[in-house]
Amino acid sequence: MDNKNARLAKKDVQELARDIMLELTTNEIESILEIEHEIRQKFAKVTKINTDNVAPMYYPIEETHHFLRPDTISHTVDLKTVLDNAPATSDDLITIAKVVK
Amino acid sequence: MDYRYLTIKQWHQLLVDKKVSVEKVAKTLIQEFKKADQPNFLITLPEKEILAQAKLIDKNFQKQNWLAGVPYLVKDNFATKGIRTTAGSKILDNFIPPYNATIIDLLDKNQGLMMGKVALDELGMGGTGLLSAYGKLHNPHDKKRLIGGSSSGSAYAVSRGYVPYATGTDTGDSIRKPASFAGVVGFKPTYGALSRSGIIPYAPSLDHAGFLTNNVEDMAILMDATAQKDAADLTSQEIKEKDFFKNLNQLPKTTKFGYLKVVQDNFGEPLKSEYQAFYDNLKKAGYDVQELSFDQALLEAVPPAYMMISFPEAVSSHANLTGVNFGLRAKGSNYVEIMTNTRSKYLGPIVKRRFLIGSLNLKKDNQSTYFLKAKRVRRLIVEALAELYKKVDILILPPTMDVAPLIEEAEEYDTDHDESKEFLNGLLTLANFNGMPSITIPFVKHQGLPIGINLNANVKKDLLVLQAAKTCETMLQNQIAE
Repeated sequence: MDNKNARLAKKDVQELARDIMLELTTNEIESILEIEHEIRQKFAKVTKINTDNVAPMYYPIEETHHFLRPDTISHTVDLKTVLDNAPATSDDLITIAKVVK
Repeated sequence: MDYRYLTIKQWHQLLVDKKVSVEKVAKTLIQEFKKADQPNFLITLPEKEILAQAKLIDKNFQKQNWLAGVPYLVKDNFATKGIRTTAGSKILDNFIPPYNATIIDLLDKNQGLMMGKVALDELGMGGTGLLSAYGKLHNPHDKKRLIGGSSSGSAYAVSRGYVPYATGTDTGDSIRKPASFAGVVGFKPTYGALSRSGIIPYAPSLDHAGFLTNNVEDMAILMDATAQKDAADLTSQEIKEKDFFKNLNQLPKTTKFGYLKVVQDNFGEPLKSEYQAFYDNLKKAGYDVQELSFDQALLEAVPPAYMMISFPEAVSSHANLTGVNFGLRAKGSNYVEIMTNTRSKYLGPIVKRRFLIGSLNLKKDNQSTYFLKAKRVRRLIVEALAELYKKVDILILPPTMDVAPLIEEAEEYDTDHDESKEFLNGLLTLANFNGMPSITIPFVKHQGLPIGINLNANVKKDLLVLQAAKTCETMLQNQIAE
């Protein structure tokens, strides 16, 4: 996939979806492909701006915090609460499909 | 007694004078909520917990505390200990947080009466109020129109006068735009002035917490109770100028207001004349008002840069929504299938689309071209704003260019087709880029429908922007009275 102007193919969209653990329906893929050109046009309003020697801004307030917090327990969640929220449990473990059968 | 539209001070007086007990307030409001014309403004109404808290407050009522016993509602992306928190998404349909968001703890400490969890566009994504997994919410002034989002339930409840305040979050304009459409006050303070600990994120470099109220004074009372540095939020900021309520009416006469020429030139009538009259009234009241220029190319870059930054941050923030440790889980024969099926089944279409665009921006080949590029442009925009604040103290922006749009004409933000004017609908996002405090207050009405006006000040000048908002609110109310 070209990162500039090339159109996305169906398989590109599927790959992007797989990267983020989504399985899209044919309709969902079609709807993405339909707006792709429009999205790229919007992005062009950003990419056309000259940013030579401009550093990326990651946070709005750029005050660096270099400190070590005390090595103490600040927050714990009891086991029962964690297990109550889990979709499937066995004894005191959260369970999921067996990896080794 | 009709409790609608009481201010925090009026609620306080009723409760201090024992004209009503907190328990009675709780019981009455629960019934009122059930009779609402759009009852799905609430996602969860935890009756048992509400009544238990009310009884506890009655037992130990702190009469010196403005917020004691005063009811409020919570946007459902604030974690509430022991009470379901969905963030408007099916994937969190059964999530019961084991902790409170810091803001909820602070309101608890002040004996606020938490009356339930209100609707939002799924995971805070979408500016319409139509995208909650728990039903669409429409404008309380005209059901054919949008209420806006993502803080849709908060805007609805405050606009209906059920509660004097509700919490909100704002990543692009999610407090301040629905406030305009619903005719209420919406404030997002400086980035980090309110702790975000325990709030389900959307895009951490842009996310802000805030409130919706019916007047500026209530907002000042809430800021006094909640604006404080929080060790649990590493982006938390200490705001030095405080005592918001005490100093609210002390706007310095030397305050300079400014507005953008490119925006003023693009208003249609009658809004253009109404803004001009507003500037003239500020001048008559003795304030300096300046017309400011701003590079239009940078303004036009705001909405797409927002997409290019927030969507990748969102997909990263929500990598934990997998159905493994919490939330709903779909079936699958292995962990990859379980995670993929869970996300595919329980996330809504707009969230998926935004995640996919985020994924496109995060692709190795695209990171520099799109994601980092947008962050570079963000710096240019923030620097341009800093230049404005060398000339003025308060920047006036329109939260919307018209009344709330008709639902049938509305489209999702990231597919807005009117390219040439798109930037005018994205001006509020400037404050998410640089973190400046930003407040929308009611401005005018067209055919009975509200339109707000938005005021901004430099970062950490939260007191100044509230003082300006109070002055403008009074001025606008006097104009209506005349």
